[in-house]
Amino acid sequence: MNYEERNTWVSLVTGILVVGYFLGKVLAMNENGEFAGVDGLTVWARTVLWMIPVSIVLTIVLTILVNIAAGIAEKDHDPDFTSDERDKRFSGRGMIAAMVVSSIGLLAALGHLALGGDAFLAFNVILFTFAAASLSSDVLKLFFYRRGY
Amino acid sequence: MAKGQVTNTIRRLRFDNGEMTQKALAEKVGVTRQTIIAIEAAKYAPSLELAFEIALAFEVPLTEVFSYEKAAG
Repeated sequence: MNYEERNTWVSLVTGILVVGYFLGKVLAMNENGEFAGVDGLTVWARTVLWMIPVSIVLTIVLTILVNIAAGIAEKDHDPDFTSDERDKRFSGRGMIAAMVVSSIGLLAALGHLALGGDAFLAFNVILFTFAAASLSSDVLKLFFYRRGY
Repeated sequence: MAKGQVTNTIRRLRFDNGEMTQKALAEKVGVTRQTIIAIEAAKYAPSLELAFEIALAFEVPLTEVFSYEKAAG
């Protein structure tokens, strides 16, 4: 497994952990009526904004740990951190998948608003389909790494 | 349109070049060892540029390294 594939696994695991945690948190807060006030969207934004730093820190920590563990497990004293045309091609395919999924989410949210739906659900649809887009990109990349292309 | 397959003789050429390792070939052409493994196993079709780089590494014409098998039908 090369450096970029390991990083894709880290990104997938981080994504699942962070999205899972924040989805649970938003659902619990919604259940408790914490978004019901006039400043509901502000409370929601302040909550989900934490996804970004948490995701960045977790990705950095896991990337370092996984690459150290891989170096020890493979007894590789000269680890290769290069990314080549194969990584770039898979990354490009992953980006297309992410764009498709996020576009579907954005259209669904706009449709919901156009039909008179509430902004709270629309923002959640956008946020979590963007997260799903990132996960689908990682899954597709890993599929290509494993199966070949 | 049915998809054809790019096959190669990299394994044999490495053997003929003093059992050149996949890592050595990877370093020579500027890709990761995993990419050489994937190309050798016909699980990845390299770009034209990389295909030429590999042929140059063995000092043989491109057609001696890669060939294209058209899918039947």
